Formats: sequence, structure tokens, C-alpha cells
Amino acid sequence: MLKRNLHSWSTATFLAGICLSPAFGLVQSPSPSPAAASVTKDDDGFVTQPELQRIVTAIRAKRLPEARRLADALIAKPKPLASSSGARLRQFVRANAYYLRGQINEQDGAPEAATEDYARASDLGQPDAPYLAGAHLLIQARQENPAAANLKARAFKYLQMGAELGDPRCMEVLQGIYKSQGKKEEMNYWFLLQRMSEPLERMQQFKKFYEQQYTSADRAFLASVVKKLSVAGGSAPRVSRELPGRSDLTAAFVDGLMRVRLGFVWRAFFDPTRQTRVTVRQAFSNYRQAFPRNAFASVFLLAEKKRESDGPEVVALGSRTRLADCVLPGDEIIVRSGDRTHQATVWSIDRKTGKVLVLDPFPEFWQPSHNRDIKVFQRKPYRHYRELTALSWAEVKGILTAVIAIRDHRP
Amino acid sequence: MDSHQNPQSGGKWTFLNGALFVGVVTVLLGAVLNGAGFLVNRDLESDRTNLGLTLDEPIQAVPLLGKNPTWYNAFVGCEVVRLELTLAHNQDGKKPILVRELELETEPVPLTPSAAKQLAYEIDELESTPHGIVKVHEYRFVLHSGEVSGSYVRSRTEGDVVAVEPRNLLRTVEGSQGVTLAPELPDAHHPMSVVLEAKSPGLYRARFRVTYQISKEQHSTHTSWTYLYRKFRE
Repeated sequence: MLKRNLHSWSTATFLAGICLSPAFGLVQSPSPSPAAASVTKDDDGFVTQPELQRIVTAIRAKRLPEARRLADALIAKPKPLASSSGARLRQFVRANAYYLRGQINEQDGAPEAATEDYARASDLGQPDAPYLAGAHLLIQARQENPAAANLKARAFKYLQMGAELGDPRCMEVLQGIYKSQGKKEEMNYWFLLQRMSEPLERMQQFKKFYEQQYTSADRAFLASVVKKLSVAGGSAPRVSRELPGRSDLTAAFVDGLMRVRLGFVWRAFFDPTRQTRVTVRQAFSNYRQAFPRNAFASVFLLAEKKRESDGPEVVALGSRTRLADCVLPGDEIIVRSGDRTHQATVWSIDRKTGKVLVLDPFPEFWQPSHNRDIKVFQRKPYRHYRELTALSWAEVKGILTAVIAIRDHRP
Repeated sequence: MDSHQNPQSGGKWTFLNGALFVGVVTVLLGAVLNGAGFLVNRDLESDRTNLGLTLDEPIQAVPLLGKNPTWYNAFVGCEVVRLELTLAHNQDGKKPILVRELELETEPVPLTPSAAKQLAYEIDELESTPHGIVKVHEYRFVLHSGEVSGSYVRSRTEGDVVAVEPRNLLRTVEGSQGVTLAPELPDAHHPMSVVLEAKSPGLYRARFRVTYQISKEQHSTHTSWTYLYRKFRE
């Protein structure tokens, strides 16, 4: 039953870009991103590496030989030692050089060379490249290629990576692949996550569909899928009178957002000299404005106390213990140690073992050498060259001051 | 023999003249030398090299809902304050200044419950700026259970922090590093950023005492007190 509903919905929501039959069928050529908008970003204290900017400028001006020469030179630079301090940045630059060279190859009419560049960029963690690599590989696999099986396997790897890093284009293709493999749970999981990236009207339609067309058994099945496969950990009950809980749909939305953050964290390089004095209130306000309009999820700022002038979306919980009790995966925690305040995304919390994992592009805040409130600190490699920081929940609770939480709409 | 008495012929007169010349020269030379000595002494006496020790107004380092409390009209920092201290050559002389010790003196201030009520404050956590570690090259001291521990943050790299003795900020586990202040820039100033945090409840006061040398002569001076308060559990 769910299969029928899912299929009808999927058909109704076919997006532009890539289309495919269950067995890696009708693949249209993917269009590359406009000259690497994701590679260059120069606001909010972000840093754009000048060597990448030069390539982007050359691509935009259609000076492809120059762009290629610049990309080749960056790729040819020797790899840094893994332990060297600039290794992460160097890898970022190198991956983007491959990604940009892939675009140059595409514009030069060399799709196979472009595919390999996108694949190399993906292998180094570039979050926009996996979709392009996967889609190109699928196209090559269709062309009566004797190595089709191998190409499909590679495509699957990159599409999986892209989906895990929050790319809805990859999520859509994965649904078809899992469907062809008979993997119902995975298919429905990525189907649900893809819905979460859609505009408000489509989300509202889906919500209606979910509530009116799905049976309770369908919804229970989706709930179990979200619980099993979601990084957000599934639905959560209301733990405070003032704060709603998380439905399965909101949990899926948070899951999608966490994956987008996972994609983003790899490219988070800031200029520390460009200090923006954004307060927690302002950060929350900015976050609300940037928060996609949503059919079921709202964003709240939780704190021990609030000002009279704070709106109803700021929830005063009265104590740090109550504040800590509300924290769920995907929430942004704000902590303060002495005069330093910091923000990180909770990736998982195990309240029984007292362990918490956070996603944080600036983990130096937690280093015991720099933070007297923290004794437990470990940087743990995660998927696709990302890293999580392992901490003690008791220590984090001790310095917790606020939480930006995504929950269901208030009734 | 007559020739000896002839004033025109030299003799005794000549001898007397010579002696007088030597005497005059000696007196003149002595006067010149004395004068030079006087000038030298005057120059030395006019070298008024000294240390300038400046502590800017303390900065409240976590946002409050209202104003900072006061203690006998003095500013009271709540929980954490940032202090900007500058050691400087006064540039009123040519001698270098060797700063050997810079001590952070701290002591609790006895506080009655009613006085503690007057120091009430509220931190507005939502007005803090979540940027993690922004500043480096700063000293950080924590007052906790009667003890003061300090560190110097060199960079954001893990472990790149050295322990610092409050008895002498210029001495770290890696050794003592005196500061020489020259009369000319750029070595005439030595600015320092210090973050001071009260971890245990109570009222404290802190000041910096500097011990320094000018021409082997030892001097000492200190800043005024800075007050720091952390409230007791409500």
C-alpha cells in the first residue's frame, strides 16, 4: 500500500534534472552548477581562496585554457602531510580544483574526463561533486558499456555520498536504485528526506497526503524507517509544557538539515580577523529568517531565562537541567566557558553512557588545553572526510546556556 | 750675575712667569673639567626614565541584563572581566627598563549577605556572541576555591597554551622572560590582555604589581584594584 502511495507521489513530484527508470534507465544529462557558486563565498566572514577564485573567474569569462592551466597547477601541488595544520584547507582547495576542472572538461565536451574529475573531487569530500560524478557514470553505464556493472557500482557510491551530504538530487536517484534492489526501507527513507527539501506548497501537499492517504500502517512503517536510518534519531515526545516534541516528519526534516550541515562543515573556513559581533539572539533571528518555510517544523530558542521583549519563540525553561533535558540530535547548542561562547550541532546524545557527539567546524573551543570546563575531548573521523567531536554530556551540560531547537509547530 | 736681576734678561722673572702660567692653566683646566663634570652629572640627573603602568577600565566580558554593580563607587566586574594592561617606557630619559616580575595579586573581600545583595547582577546569555576562541595571545586567570591558576594562550592549536604563575606572569613553565622597555618605539610599550574569571562565589579584588630595574636600581609599582564578583547560588 505504501509502495503504491509512494510511487504515485514520486511520479507527481518528478523534479527537473535527473530522471530514471527503476533499473538505471532514463537518465538525462545533468547540468553542472553555475560556475561553482558553492566554491566561492565571501560574506559572513567566509574566506574564498584566491587561487580558486581565479579559476572561477576564468571559467565565467569563458577563458577555459587559462582556467584549465590554473586548475592543473593546483592539482599538481604536492599533497601535505596528514598532520600538517593546513592539510584540511589544502584538501579543500585540491578537491575544488578537481571539481572546477570537471566543469571545464564538460564545457570542452569531454564528459568522461569530467566524470573522473568529479569522482576525484568527491573522493576528497567535495559535497557538490558526487551528484555529477554519479549521474555521469550512470549515463556511461547506459551506453552498452561492457564495464556497466562497475560503472553502476561507482555511481551508487557517489550518489549515496551525495545523499548523505544532503543533496536532494542524489536522494531522488537513490530511491530508484533502492527500488530496483527491492530495498523498501532505504527507498522510503530517501523518498521522505527528499520531500523535506521541497518548497512550502509541496511540503503542505505531502503533509496532507501523509495524513489523509497513508494508512496508520504506512505511517508506522515510515516512523520505523526514520528511527532506524535517520541521523536525527526519529520522533521525540514533548518533554516540556512550553515546547512541542518532534513528529516523524519533523524528525525527517531535521535529518535532512543535519545532512546539509554535514556537507557544509567541510567547507567552513572563516577569517578570524573579520569579527562579526552577532549575538545569540541575532543568530537565532537570522536562523529563523533563513529557515525554510515549513509545513510542520518550527524553530525555537531555548534558554533558562528570557527578556520581556523576547517573542514567544524564545522559551524560558527556568533551569539548566530542564534546558539540557530538551536537547535532541540536530539541535544547535550554545555553551559558554568563561568569556567564550560557542555554538555546535548535536549529532547524537547517549544519555545513558553520558556521551555526546557534536558537529563543529571549530572544535578548538573544546580542547582541554584551551577550555578548563572540558576534560573529555576527542576528534573522531566521520564519513566523507568529515569529523565529529566526542564530549562528555555532563561537561557540556555544565556550560550549556541556550539551544536552538527544531520542533513541531505549536498547536 | 747681573743678568739675573735684569728684568729684560729673564732669569728669576722668567721662572716666576712660568710658574704663574702653569698655575693659571691648572686652575682653568680644573674649572673646565669641573664644569664638564657638572654638565655630565646634570645630564644624568635629568634622565627621568621611569615605567608607565596603565590599566584600562575593566571590560565586563559576559553581557549583563543591567549595569555592573559598584563597591564603594568602584566598578565591579561580574564573573569575567577583560583587562588591558600596558607597561611602557615614559620616554623621559634614555635608560632601558628591565621588567623582571609582573604579579597578579588577588584577595577575597569579606562580604556580608546584605552587601552581597547590593552586588546582584544577571547575565544575559542570549546577548553573548557565539564565536568560540576569537582572541589568542592573552593571559587567562581563574579564581577558584582560594586558588588562582593561569595560562597564556599562544594559538588555537591544541596544546599551544602554557601555564603561567600568578606570582609572575613573565615566568612560564618554559622559563622566565623579562621584558626590556627601550626609550624608543617599537620597544617602548608592552601591552597585555588578561581575562580574569571568578569560578567560586564571592567578591575578589585583583591588581598587578610590577618589579623593574633602571640602572640596576630596583623599583616597584602597582595598579589600582579591580573588583570581581560571582554571586552565590540563589
